[in-house]
Amino acid sequence: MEEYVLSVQDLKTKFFTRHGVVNALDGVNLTIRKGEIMGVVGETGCGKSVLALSIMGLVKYPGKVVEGSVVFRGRDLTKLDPDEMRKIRGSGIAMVFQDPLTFLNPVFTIGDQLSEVFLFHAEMDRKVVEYRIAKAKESLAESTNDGQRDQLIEEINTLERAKEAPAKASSKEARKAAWYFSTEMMRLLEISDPERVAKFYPHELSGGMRQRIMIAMALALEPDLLIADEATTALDVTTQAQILQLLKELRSRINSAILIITHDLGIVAQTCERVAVMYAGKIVEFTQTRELFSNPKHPYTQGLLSSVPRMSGPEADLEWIPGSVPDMINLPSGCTFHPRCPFAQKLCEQEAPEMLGETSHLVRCHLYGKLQAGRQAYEK
Amino acid sequence: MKLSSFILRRLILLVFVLFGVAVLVFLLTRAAPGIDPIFAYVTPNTPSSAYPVIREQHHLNDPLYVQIWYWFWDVLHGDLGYSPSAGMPVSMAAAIFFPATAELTIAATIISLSVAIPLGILSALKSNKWQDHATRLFVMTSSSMAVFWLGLMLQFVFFYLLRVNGLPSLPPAGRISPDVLVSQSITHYTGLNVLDSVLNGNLPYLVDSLSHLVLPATTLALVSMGLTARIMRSSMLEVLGQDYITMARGKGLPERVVIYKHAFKNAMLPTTTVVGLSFASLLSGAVLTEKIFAWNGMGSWAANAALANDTVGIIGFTLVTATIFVCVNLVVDIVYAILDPRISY
Repeated sequence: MEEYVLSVQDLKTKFFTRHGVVNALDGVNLTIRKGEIMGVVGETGCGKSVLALSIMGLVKYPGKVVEGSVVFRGRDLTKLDPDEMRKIRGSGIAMVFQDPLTFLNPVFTIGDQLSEVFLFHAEMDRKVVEYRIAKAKESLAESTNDGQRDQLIEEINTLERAKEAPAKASSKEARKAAWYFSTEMMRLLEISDPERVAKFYPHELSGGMRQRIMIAMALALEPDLLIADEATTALDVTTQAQILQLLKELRSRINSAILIITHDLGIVAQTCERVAVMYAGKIVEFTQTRELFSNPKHPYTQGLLSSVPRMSGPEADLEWIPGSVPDMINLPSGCTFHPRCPFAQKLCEQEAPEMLGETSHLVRCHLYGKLQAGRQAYEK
Repeated sequence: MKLSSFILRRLILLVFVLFGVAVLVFLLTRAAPGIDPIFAYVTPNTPSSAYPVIREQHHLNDPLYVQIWYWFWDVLHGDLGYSPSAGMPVSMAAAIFFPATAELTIAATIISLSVAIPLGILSALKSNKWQDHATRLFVMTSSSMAVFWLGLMLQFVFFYLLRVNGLPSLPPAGRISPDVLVSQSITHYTGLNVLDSVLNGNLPYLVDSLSHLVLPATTLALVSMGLTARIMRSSMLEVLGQDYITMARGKGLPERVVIYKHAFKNAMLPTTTVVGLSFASLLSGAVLTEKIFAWNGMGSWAANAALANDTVGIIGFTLVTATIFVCVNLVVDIVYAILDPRISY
């Protein structure tokens, strides 16, 4: 049996606005395996970010998760009370957001904001002991005096024993330890001179640095799942590549699963193992990344792929998908993509298709179900 | 280090602003019709035969640009002339009345902030729920009330009604009871009765001056808290919608930390400006409140001077008030720079 870190079943999130009900998520099914990198792609406004926020339980008023379940560590997150949910955020599931400037608090230092993650989640008493051990080891490495070395080794051994049942640490010690582990986390994210950077305010850092800080915050407690919502969109291409590379490396070190939410197919191709294509609050295609790029089935996916400009091959005009994202309040009848679909039939206007195909390649399109015969005839 | 050079720079600027204020005030004394500058240098007892000598002594027959020089010299030496309505020189009047007003202002601001800030936060957290409506109604009502009516009503309830029913009541007027003034002697270091009695360790004096402070300070606080609470509410609402609040929740911080740490400090920025402005305007004297509660402060002095046609008093008051405004603005700027690291100084 495959082990899933997260299983989203039939998730529906609605926004009850003055103009009507927005069906931001309209029955989303998604499973993420342990340690896998999964992508969710789609146009702006298709519900990708709402999916992330719904998993985190952070959907803002007037939005609400109305149906479905999000199962994590055997518990349905949509039914947890706020305090239980809070404990999972940050330590179990962490999130990296799009714009690192607006998502970092401008009036607190980087170190302060990073320390909080430890202070409000980790067992600080134990962390304080670990901090003391780390400090003692540092001085041991520097020390040359034999007597002093013996003393330090003795101290480390005592502390190692104390780790199992740590004494209550004062809040000052806890803050110091949290600060230390924050700088260690920053070092892991390849930030040079973290002790100095920790004292900076967000506006004093570059975009790439800020994004590293956000990732450091998200990974600080080694969560089982990291959600990266357009985490590299605001960065230039080089920094983007660095950050993605870093995420991949850290994934194998910490063994977190990563859910990458993006509109950029390039990022998906580079990093993700499986990918879900979203359209108007529904997942319309779900398969391996390689399979998606070599054999896209849904007309929307085909359109997305052919509208990516290519550097190689014969020169040709860039293709595009006609029309625009539907009005989420008054969704088209039947298949929501039918007004823009080049293969649309009468049936597509009348009936919404189900997810079809094998589990390794699911697609929500009548062309692979009731209209299959017609499609095959057309292809011949 | 960076902050101290910012403060130094602002202090240097302060000198120029005050110079500008002084020039304007001087021109007012010379330009306003019906004001003879000699009034600044005579008392009601000065015989008019001495006027020409005084005029000569104070260079009042010289051209304006010479006069301004001498006037500045006098001001720098604390000689702003004699205020007949106060019955003493302007500098002495300011030294007596300003601490009284400062005491009232500080007390009112403490009361106002400790009510308005929590109410503003509550209002924002429960926006459009009954708590929000109740808070807004209370704040709107209290700040729309005429201060003289509110003051009189407080006196009526907490002095008159309590007293006629034989209950302990609050004093309706003055800064200290006559019997306490006679029986207890304290050294006045600051002129703020509450602070001085603490410094002297004199409990009866402290209790008496605090009880005198309650009604006027509450009156001022009730009237001025409306703006603070509303600014706090709106800036809190704005901050709560910011991305970094989502981030703070996403990190799994407890709601109290999200609100009282992450949102609060940001929401305090606009509030600081408003509080600073209302503090400065209260410091220049609340005329009506001081009159109603017979509180001998800047407001009473200014009102008396205006009624008695005491131009020297008014001009002295203007100069003192302008200085206070400039100084309070400086303090607000410094607080702002401490609160918001994005401010470059």
